[in-house]
Amino acid sequence: MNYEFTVLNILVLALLANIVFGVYGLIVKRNLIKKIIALNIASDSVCVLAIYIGYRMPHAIPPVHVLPYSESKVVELVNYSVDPLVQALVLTAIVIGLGFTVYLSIITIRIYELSGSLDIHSLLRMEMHTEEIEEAEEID
Amino acid sequence: MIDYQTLFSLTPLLLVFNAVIIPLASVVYKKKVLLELVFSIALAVNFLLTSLVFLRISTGATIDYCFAGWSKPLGICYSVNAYNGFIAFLVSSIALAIGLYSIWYSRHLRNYVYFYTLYLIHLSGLLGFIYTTDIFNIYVMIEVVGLSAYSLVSLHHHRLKALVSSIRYALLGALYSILFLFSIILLYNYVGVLSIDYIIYRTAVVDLSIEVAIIFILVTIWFSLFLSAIFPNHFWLPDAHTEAPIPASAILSGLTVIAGFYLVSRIMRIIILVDSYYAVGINYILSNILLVFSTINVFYGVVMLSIEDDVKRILAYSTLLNMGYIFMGLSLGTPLGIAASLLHILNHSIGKALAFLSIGYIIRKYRTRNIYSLEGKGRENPVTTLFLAIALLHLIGIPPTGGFYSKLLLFQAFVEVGAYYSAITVVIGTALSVYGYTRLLEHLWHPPVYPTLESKRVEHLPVTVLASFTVLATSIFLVSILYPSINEFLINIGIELFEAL
Repeated sequence: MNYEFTVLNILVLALLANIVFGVYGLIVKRNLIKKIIALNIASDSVCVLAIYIGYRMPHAIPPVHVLPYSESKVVELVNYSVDPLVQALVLTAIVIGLGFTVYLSIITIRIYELSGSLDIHSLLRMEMHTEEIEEAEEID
Repeated sequence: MIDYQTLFSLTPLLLVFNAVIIPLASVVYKKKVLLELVFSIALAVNFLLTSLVFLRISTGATIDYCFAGWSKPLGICYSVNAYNGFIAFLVSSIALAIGLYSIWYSRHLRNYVYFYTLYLIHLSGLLGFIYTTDIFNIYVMIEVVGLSAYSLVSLHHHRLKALVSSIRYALLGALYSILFLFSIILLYNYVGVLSIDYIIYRTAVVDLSIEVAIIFILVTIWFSLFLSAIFPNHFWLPDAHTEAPIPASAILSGLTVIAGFYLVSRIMRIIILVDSYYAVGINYILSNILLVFSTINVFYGVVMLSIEDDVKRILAYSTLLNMGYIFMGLSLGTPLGIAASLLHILNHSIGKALAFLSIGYIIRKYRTRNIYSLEGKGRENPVTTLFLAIALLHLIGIPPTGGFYSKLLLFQAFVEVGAYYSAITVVIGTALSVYGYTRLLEHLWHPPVYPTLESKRVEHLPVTVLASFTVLATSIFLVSILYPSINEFLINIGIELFEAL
């Protein structure tokens, strides 16, 4: 029993460290690709942490079969099943993370095509030197 | 008999449905007229439904709708009361006006299909965010609002500056939304429920403690500072709002920035309603921090407003200035302060939308944003400049326009609690901003010293553009005419926010 707790505590600490590393990488790294990777590390760690919060000690193997209905089986289910809500939340969060990754990757590719650089500092410097450009593109 | 429950819960879904229809229809039928029709009908129907709901709830009713029949603490519920209904009505009416304008504007965009889609998704996200009572759903809706906002900023994807400002905005938004998700999960671990009303009930009535929610509250307020561009997280706003297409700037600058205010005002209820020493101390510290940050925002905004040469950046800094006022009113923590902030939100949204749209017509015509290149161009477009002047006077707060009353109410709210420094800050901010706004008007109206750009064509405003200008300008004066009843309505909202459950 103690062994289980130790393992789970190590898991939580590792996840928190992962989140900190991800946030650090997102802030400090200058390369846009590295920023996106750090973002993914942080968001996936948060998702695993969410799954952990819904976790129960493994005394029975969920899901418990409730049908045909009986009260004792429902009690058994409530006692031993993992929390289904966090799994639904994580599913949504993963989809949102995917959307973010796709969007950032597309913009990064486009930036690389236009400027030939992925370094955010040099991009900002480049941006300062570009002259005034018109508001919208011309079409005929 | 109208089924209000279905009516108001339908509006975000309706917009998403139309947003999906538009790109599909554009594949089948190449003419742009059909897309314009679908777009404007979606906005108009949304406006009608929201105003019906607003009329219903302005009598004091509250409407709840729970998806799939899961009742309140368990399922995702949409709930509309006077506060939600007011903000939703504001958002959908101004979005309709901006939508009318963007029908004209999108003729100049190559990827107008994406613009229509993103605009509708953005609006739907905002409405869902306003109605929902579930914290995780708030997170999802903020992501919908955020991703569509980043995409709208990068819509001119041939321009490096737009892409870089979009990715800066997106990276910061992604970082904060991950932290927000983390705090939601920690809160869920302690409270076990995600419904915001039930969290308030649990902390304020059952436990009388906010210790379990403290990380959540801090992260949410920090995230809201990002959404509303208050001081430490303000730097993305001028770039992003300048590089977006004009209708997108108007909706981002006028409507999206109020999301942060709305989030804080709902989360603050968790603290306000708890009656322990700890909660009172936290409330005191947080409101002082908010006050300091928003005061810095006011001064930063007003200084940058006066020295900037890019006309769209001037208006973007004006957004910083006004968000500073709004958060100053919020940080007071009194019903009058909340009412003043809400009135200022109303005024700022109308005025900023009209200012962006009218200056956008001139920018579009002469293809420059520099204030010196636009010298004397106001004389060639007198009608547009008249509307711009109304909007800018409204933003300054000259009496016949509605902007005066919100600053007056803000001043009264500060004097009521004896916060004289904040009252003086509002006066100084207004006085200094007069220079920045009138400088813009003066440059537009003054005959150019050196002829820079050739004068082109006579002013020709399309019907939709003129309609959207007229609607916004009329509502500026309506605010000042209807001031007594609006004031009463907003103060009631403020009192309701501080009521115990």
